[in-house]
Amino acid sequence: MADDASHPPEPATGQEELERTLGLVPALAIGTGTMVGAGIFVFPGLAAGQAGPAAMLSFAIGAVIALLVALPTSELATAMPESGGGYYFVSRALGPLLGCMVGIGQWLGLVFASAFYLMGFGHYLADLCRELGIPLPLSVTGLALGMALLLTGVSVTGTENTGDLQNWIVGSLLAILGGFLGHGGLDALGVFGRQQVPEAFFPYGTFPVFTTAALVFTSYLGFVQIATVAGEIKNPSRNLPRSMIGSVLLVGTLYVLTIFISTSLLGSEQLAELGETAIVNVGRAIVGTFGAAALLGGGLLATLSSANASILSASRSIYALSRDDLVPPQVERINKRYRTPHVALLLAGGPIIALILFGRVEVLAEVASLLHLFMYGLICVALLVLRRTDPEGYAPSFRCPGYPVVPLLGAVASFGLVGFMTPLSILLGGGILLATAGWYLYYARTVTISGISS
Amino acid sequence: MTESVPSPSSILVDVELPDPEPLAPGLTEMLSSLRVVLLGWYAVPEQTSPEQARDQFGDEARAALAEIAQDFEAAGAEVTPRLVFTGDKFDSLGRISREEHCDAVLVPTPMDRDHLRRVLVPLRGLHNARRIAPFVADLVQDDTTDVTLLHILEEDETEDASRADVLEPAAEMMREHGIDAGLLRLDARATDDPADTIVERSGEYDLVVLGETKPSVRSILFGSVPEQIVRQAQVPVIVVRHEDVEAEVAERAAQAD
Repeated sequence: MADDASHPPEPATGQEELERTLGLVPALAIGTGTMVGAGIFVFPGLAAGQAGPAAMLSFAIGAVIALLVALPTSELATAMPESGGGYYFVSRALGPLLGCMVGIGQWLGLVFASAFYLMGFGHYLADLCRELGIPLPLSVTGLALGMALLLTGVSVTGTENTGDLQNWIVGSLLAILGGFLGHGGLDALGVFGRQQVPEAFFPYGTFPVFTTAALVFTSYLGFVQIATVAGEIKNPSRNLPRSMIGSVLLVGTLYVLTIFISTSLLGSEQLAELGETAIVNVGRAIVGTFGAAALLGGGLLATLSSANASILSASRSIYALSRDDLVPPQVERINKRYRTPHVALLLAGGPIIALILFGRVEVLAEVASLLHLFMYGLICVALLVLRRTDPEGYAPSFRCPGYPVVPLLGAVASFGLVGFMTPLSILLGGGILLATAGWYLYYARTVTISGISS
Repeated sequence: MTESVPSPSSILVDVELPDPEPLAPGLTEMLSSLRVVLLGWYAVPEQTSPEQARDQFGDEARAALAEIAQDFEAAGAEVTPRLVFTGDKFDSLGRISREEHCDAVLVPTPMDRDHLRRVLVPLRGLHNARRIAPFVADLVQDDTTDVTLLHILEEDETEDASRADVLEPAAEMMREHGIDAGLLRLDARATDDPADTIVERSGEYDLVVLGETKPSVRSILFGSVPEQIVRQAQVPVIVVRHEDVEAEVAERAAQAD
């Protein structure tokens, strides 16, 4: 049994120690904060347009898949509470080739996700300008681009810790959503005498439910970022499983409720027309201008915090690769003045800017999901392999329940969901994964990776 | 269970790395009779994994810490160095003071005195003094340092009552622990604002030693009664920690025989 109290201290005199500073709430905030930006504030309009009210099933499918992966990830993370998350598990269990693909895939997946969140942010900012009657200074793309530059700059030079800010943002988001969902839920059920928009549950048939699930899966990428900072989490055997599983359950519930309320109040056709910021009008329908303002503010905060969290996680992924010599050591250099890994942060920020110029929100979301689903599937496989081989030092304090059914289903569902994406996304995502394999063969063929350290 | 040579009281001294604020030479000398847990902390922003910072700055930080440890060792202190890469210095301070069972924590103030001769010990009550007395005794072993016990009167407490109930018994405790009676001064004062009075009095001393109000290091430095004193005092402050469960058990055992 890994004794929790024994995790932080390595008190051999003169040895450097690494403080674990993230408790349960900050860990939950990392997971939730990375996720809510997309599921509630960008997708409802797009998803309802594709699947109708059944989009709530799409979100539920996503939650089930995320949960099937969060359980194995929890076991692996308590066995290896190290920085690097999914990359670390896969490289230790399945070798450097797949590890390299997952690691680079995680970095680029986060880059795509961050570009997607920032496009969402651009839409919200443009909406805000419209509401306030300010002439739009820039296009949505321009706004997203400006924010990407600003975020990257701040992440390199900012020395103030925004951890507390992140907790505060997530807390106020949950409060806004709680009010919105509570009041809106009663409204949607007709408590206040409102007529529901009459609509078939599956206006477009059942198949779009799955393609929509593939599209909106970007809403479930955050929990694995908790594993990326596993090395900094206090009492990891307790807090890792709780925060990962808890954040998936929390956001999954919020998403399904949001779609239920949105489609009940406005109908999916109108939602689809409203696009990325549809939720603002749902807020207006419930409590008028105040509701619209609250959700507009919420959308700005949520997309921004998701984008920021993704940039930081991307930089952590690059460090994990560099530590194992899978990418050149220069990328992990830390800037002496700001003590930030400026190369890795720029390697996140630069491609984000390029992707924003590309600008296709759905494709950005799907490629981000695809790269993560590849990792999720392999995380499940990694658990199956480690349980079978039971290598020395593998002593998880959390055991994945329902073994081997849960990881098997998790792997099949993760890989399977990719099949419902658009051909362009599959082509792009597949191409990126092939390129990562190419990188391994070109650069890192001779690398051997150490065993599991605990 | 009984130790023939009791180990000296321990104090947590934290220094920021790699460029620590220099400690006053007199302070290093003053603490030399104690076991000094020297915590060097290297602040890591959230964008950076502490591990990554350790990989790059570990050597530099270790060298800087070793230099300070040498100063203390040269003055005769028993030094336990700890080096932490941390995103939250208070987490590290709290954890290490617990792990090392530190009796007290130093809150240094930049000053330039070669010898510390006058120590102010504000007391809240006898319970408070019980914990502080052995520490102060270890601190002033060279018998050249004046120790002033200061008690702020409760609302309708008279000065005589304060002397009889708190100051005299506290002084007796100090003497029992080996402090020279000739070096002890007693001071009872009435005031509306205890913290302010203590801060004001501290200007005439070289060092303040006071007891912690809450059992956490974070609260020493943030939001508790001594906070104001710690922040405003012109001289270094040593905060003597609450008794741990361990110490209480030991005390009960001692009272039993």
